Amino acid sequence: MTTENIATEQSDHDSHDEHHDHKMTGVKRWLYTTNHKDIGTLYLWFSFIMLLTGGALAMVIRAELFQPGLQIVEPDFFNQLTTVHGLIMVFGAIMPAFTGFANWMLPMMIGAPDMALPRMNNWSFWILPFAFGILLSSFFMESGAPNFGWTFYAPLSTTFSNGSTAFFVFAVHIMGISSIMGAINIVVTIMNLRAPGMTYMKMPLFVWTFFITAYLLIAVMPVLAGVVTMVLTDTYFGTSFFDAAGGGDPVMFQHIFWFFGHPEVYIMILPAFGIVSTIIPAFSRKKLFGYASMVYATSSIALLSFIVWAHHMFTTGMPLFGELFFMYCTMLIAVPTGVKVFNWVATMWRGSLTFETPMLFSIAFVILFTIGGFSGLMLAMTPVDFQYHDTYFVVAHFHYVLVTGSLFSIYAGAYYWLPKWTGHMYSDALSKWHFWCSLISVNLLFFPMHFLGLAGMPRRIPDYALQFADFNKWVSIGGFAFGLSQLIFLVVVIKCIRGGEKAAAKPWDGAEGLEWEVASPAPYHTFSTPPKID
Amino acid sequence: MIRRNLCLLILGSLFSCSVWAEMQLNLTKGVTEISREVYDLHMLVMYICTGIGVVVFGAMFWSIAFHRKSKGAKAASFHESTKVEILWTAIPIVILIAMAIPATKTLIEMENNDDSDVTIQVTASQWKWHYKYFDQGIEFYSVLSTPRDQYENQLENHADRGENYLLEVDRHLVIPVNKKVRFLITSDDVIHAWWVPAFAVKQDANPGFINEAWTKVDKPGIYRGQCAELCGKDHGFMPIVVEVRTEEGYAQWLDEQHELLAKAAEAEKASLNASVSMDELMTLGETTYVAYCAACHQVSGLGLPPAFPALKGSAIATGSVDGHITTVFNGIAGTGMQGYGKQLSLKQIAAVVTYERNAWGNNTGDAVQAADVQAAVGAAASSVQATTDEESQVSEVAKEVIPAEDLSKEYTKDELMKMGEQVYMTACVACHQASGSGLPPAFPALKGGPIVLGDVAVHIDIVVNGSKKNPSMVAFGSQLTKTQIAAVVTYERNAWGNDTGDVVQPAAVDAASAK
Repeated sequence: MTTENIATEQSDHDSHDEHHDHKMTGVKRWLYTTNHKDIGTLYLWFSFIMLLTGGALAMVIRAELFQPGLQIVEPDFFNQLTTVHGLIMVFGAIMPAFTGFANWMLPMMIGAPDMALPRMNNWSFWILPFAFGILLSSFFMESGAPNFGWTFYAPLSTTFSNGSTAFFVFAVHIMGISSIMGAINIVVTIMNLRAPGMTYMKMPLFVWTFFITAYLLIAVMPVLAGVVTMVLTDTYFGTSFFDAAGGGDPVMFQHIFWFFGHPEVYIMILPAFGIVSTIIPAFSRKKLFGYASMVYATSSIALLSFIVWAHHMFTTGMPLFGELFFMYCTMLIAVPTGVKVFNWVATMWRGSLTFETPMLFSIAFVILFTIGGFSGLMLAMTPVDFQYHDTYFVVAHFHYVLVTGSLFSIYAGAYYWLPKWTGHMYSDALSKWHFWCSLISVNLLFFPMHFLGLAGMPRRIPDYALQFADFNKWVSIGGFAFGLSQLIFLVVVIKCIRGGEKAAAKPWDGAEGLEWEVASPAPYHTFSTPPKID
Repeated sequence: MIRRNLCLLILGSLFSCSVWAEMQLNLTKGVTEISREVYDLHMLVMYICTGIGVVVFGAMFWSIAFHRKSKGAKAASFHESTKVEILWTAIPIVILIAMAIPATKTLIEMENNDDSDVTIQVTASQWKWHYKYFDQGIEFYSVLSTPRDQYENQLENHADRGENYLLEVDRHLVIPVNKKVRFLITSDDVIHAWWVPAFAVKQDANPGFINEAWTKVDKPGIYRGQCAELCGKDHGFMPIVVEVRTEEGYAQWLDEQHELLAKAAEAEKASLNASVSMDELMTLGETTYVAYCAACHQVSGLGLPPAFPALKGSAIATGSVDGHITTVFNGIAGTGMQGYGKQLSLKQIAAVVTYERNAWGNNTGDAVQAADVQAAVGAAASSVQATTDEESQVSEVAKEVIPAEDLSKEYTKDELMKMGEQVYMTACVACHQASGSGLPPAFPALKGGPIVLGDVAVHIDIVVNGSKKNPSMVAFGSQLTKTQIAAVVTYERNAWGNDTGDVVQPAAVDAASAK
């Protein structure tokens, strides 16, 4: 979405609104904007640029792993690639994309004129490019980029780091501040700006999932800030939080990190649940099955996410009781997650289905996310986790939930609301190409990783034993194909912004929600007077 | 049509793949009872997941096939059913319980480290493993033995790779078959993880802490694993090879090792008097350098700054010889520079120092001999091969305190406490720590511990004869005098606020050990 387009479309369709707003032009409009739609657009573009950046790093990784032996990168640089790839995808691609959706859609879905704290909204976006600027700039420094994995386990990230720790810590601090501000804004908006008559249990499920996610963010981002600060002082100021020689404990690092890290996983998937729960009913032409149970399931997942963190740490030498506790709690998460999947299937059951691109991505989401859920259940079993832990099985697991889960839901949502954002329908044929290319390549990319992990290939290694060679070749081919397929999406979006069939206010006949009651593209200001909900 | 061709193409190329049949797709069954239980659990969960998947996706594909608008399907209006919701909450819970029960059983077995026959300390460091056999005085490092030209710079090098490429080491860890072998796992620098898939053992090596794991292998053979926790640059290059031998084979191996140790000690002594030529030093130095130093400092001597500094023209390699030797021997605390005093012989250190001082145009002309190394590091060097002497050293130190033993002598509590503290600080402190808080779980706390607060006879017995449950508690009956044992038992029962008030005399120890 570009400046000019919103502006021109706006004057075509909604000249009345246009009189009231004093939009600046050019760069200033974007720098100074407090409009939730502009900020949403910024977030979405930023996250797509980060997706391509992180994806480019991943393709170098896959090129190195294409065959045994070290061909194109050194082991140390390989570690920098995996570290920065992880950080960019988590904090730069997935999370900002969801914040972008929240900014664009939440006010329109609850009948609010804008986000509750628009100036903070501007700031929470504009500090992000600086965070990633700092992180990426470390590639060009003598020390190189962070090379200790996105999980930055001490003491590899402290005593034994390559000197990039300070850049890493400050970048994460800024990302954290941005996330906390974004989350506070979401909570305040939802609590205060709902249209009269919209009780909590009448909110679209999309709103509920973002509401719960925002709480998770507020709860755990300070923990992340704390742990990176401890890493900073351990590295540069002689403290010994994670150094046994000074009375600290390196395993304590992992406890603190994963106390943030596990809820973080749900921060990246709950909004996906919200998007899919919006799209499946629309193209099934049937109401979402079990709305209330969906709300409760989402809340239970959020609550449980605080008491399962140590399932990432079964091999650290926990007492038996700890292992049992975290195994049982983790297995329990399968229950509310299962309820969600069953509800989606029940929504489709005896519906009147059509398969537009948003629906295709949503169906792929349900199936592939569930595969990620199954491997998650397998990983929850402590005795077997000793075999899976830190192998490609884990890599396969979290890429199924994060790529075919979160990222696919983001594509589903993007196709679903593109007509609302741009006022045009996207190219159906190209979008189907995008879907099928992505679907085939993503499975070629990630499914064989299960086999690699089971056969014993550890993660984060730049070279591997010969019996892993064939699968790695396939995985790399899948990786290149998946990476290139994403450029189709770029073409679809640019074409859609520049023109195309005019979209109706409600282009999907089964869609429900307040956002479809405003024109397409959505006027710069919507719901200046709140709608009435009965 | 295009799609079908594509599918055929993909399928065709998959089957044309020559090694397809040999590729492992599933988890290894392994060679221990535990690993087979783990495999069964894995299969159980996989079947359950597949079953659930078939039902759920089946229902979904049914809707996709038959409830489409294009086939004239009209949407039903149902959207809620408490009964159904309860049903599909309850059924998964039942399934989960069915999975949790066998998992719990296996886990409890895995965590039972008692009653082991052999104990081996595994110490990880960047990027090698060190194995130390308790009670045998055998210890050695184990490092990757795949030649560097097989994996480095593969755009230019095309060396043929062996079958065990990246999974081969210079010295195997050897363990006996059908014996419970306990591993005490720790690290000298960052976190590593010791993983052998065939044993279903994966345990993190945490610096400053000791983790336990065990295995009981029922089939002799060679089993390979790798480090499983990102530990820096060469994380991918620190494999593990375990050789499981029959009981006789293992005994024979132990004998060989003892012989080798004796020979090494002799060679070490001989090297102190020998003067080696510059050429020989440089040749040995280069091989040692490539094996031990090149991973960080690079074959070119240029290092990977800033973490791994260059040696070419560096202050250390061209400055004082003694400074250079001590750096190599002791390492630099808090950096990736390890101490090689324990890993290399004096001759090797002399050679590698010589090499570093003369290679890459450093040309200092210095030829360092083993004796120079010994002189530079002083007394520390004598401990190189002295691990077997450790115990005798302990008793020597203690003997100075009490030259002769008079079992009838009655000591005062103060005397016993003073002597006990000395003995404790030499014989016990390494495991149980000066604070008495130990390093649980392998080395339990004595402060407030059940043994030191319980029956005196049991306490004496465990010090004299060692622990049957925990083999790292060795018998001190032959290492300490009865007076020393009396003193240390008294000390343990009264230090750190244990305050039992018990005063144990040598006669009591004599009486207890006579039983």
